[in-house]
Amino acid sequence: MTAEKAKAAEVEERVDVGALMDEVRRRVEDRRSSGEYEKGMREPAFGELALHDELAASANRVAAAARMPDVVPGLYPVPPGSGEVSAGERAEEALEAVRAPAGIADRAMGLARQVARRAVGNRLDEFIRSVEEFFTASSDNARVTAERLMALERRVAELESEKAGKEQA
Amino acid sequence: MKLAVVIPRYAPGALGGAEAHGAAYARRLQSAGHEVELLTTCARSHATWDNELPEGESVEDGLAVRRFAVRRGDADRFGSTEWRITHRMHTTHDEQVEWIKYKGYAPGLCDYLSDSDHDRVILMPYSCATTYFGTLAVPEKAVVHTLLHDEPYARLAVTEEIVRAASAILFNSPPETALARRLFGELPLHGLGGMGFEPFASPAEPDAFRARHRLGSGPLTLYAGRWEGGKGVPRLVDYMKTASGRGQDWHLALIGSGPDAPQTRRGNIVPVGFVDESEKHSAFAAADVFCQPSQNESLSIVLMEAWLAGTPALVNGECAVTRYHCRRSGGGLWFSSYPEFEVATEMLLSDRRRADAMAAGGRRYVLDVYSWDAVLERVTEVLEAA
Repeated sequence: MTAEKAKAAEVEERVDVGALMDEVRRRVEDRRSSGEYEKGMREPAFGELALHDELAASANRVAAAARMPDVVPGLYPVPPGSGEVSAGERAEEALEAVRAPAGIADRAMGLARQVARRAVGNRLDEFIRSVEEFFTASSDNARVTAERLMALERRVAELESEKAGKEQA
Repeated sequence: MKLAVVIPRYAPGALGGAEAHGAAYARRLQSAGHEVELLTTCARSHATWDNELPEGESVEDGLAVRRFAVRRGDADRFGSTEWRITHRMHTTHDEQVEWIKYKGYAPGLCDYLSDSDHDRVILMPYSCATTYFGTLAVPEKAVVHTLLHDEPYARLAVTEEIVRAASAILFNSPPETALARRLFGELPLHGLGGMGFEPFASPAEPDAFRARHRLGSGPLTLYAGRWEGGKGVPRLVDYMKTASGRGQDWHLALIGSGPDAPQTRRGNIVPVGFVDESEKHSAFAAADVFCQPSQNESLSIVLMEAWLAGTPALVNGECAVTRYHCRRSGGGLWFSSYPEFEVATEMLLSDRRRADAMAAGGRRYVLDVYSWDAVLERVTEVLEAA
């Protein structure tokens, strides 16, 4: 121990950490109400809530899907012009594909993907947005419920521990 | 008393927390005048359970050690059952027995226990074959030091079977006792065991530690242990990065090793790596705050060491055990979110005298409740009453 800390170790005063934690929570609330902590900093994080792991995994899968540009073109727009292919260009591409047999599969896949994107892209985009909104609202509600449950759980555990501690003292 | 201490592995230099705990018990009980032998398997690794060490008797640093060969189970079946257990799916009792069998089942050890004349057999931890089959082999002598965590394994039928069969149970802390009561209801004879601690033998050189690892003289938070997700390390690293982004000039030094933390210095995160006891003491003494972000602790050895070195603590508010230690000792604060982490750290840094008083409270708590004398007195009481 350093000399400074050794000196401090002589201090017999026991710090009331319960009161200090009340002060911590009060300051956090003050900062939250003044907007210092952004919304995303609210915790516990979704994955750490007392929810079933599978539900958290589902939310993560949806969030991950929203980051796949080929699947959700609307969320990650293709640069202007590059996604729009005229009929003439499509015919040219098809002809080019026939001329280069080695690239046929890739090109066919590319064309199919473009067609699919046009056909279902917007709907998929809308669907993903709806799912995201649903999860945001659900996770907000779940967060509030879980925070209360966890606070209750924590208090019960504290009381049980105190009881066991007194018995074992 | 003639005692046996049973742990799944004993390979000096490759010990987990439970194994180090068991070996320390064996040595301390032997020093206290008991006739003690350490019973274990030939395995070094808890991943493969390969029989790497020779079977039979040896004397290692004055301690009688007897090793038994592991009969390894089916790895695929183990993996499948393990997955279902950790995902909280239903498993039958037979599946659980096969699952725990994979974790160090040594039939020779059970035969030896059944045939020997030990007065008491101390077994630890709860989730391994040596404890399960050892307890069932000699239930009337078995004193199980569970090292129970609030995790899916704790809710298995085989775990309850150990608790129901044992003659007595030792717990690391009152919150562990409370958890066991919640899981199993009425408990057999039980008491507080725990690990014993003594003040560091070597002097601390905090300034030299900071200089060696280029930590400057600003606020320093320390973590010690495995750098793993299960220990809450990624969260701590994220919090320290967030703190840095918000203009806090705090550094985080990490001692230990593991995959879930930066392996090289990155911004305010400084991975120090493995250190010896003397350097560890210096690291604890150099820190302004010791952070234990793990949610699953049944004691937290490093928390006790931090207090012995005179450093206040900041622990995960979801961990009943470390929060209990902080509340009882007045030695630390806790957090459940980034804002709480930031404000609590600020409070520990802002008032040096208060922080030192907190550390002193922690130190007194360790020496009162978890000195070796106190631990051995309690354990002996349980051994005699069992």
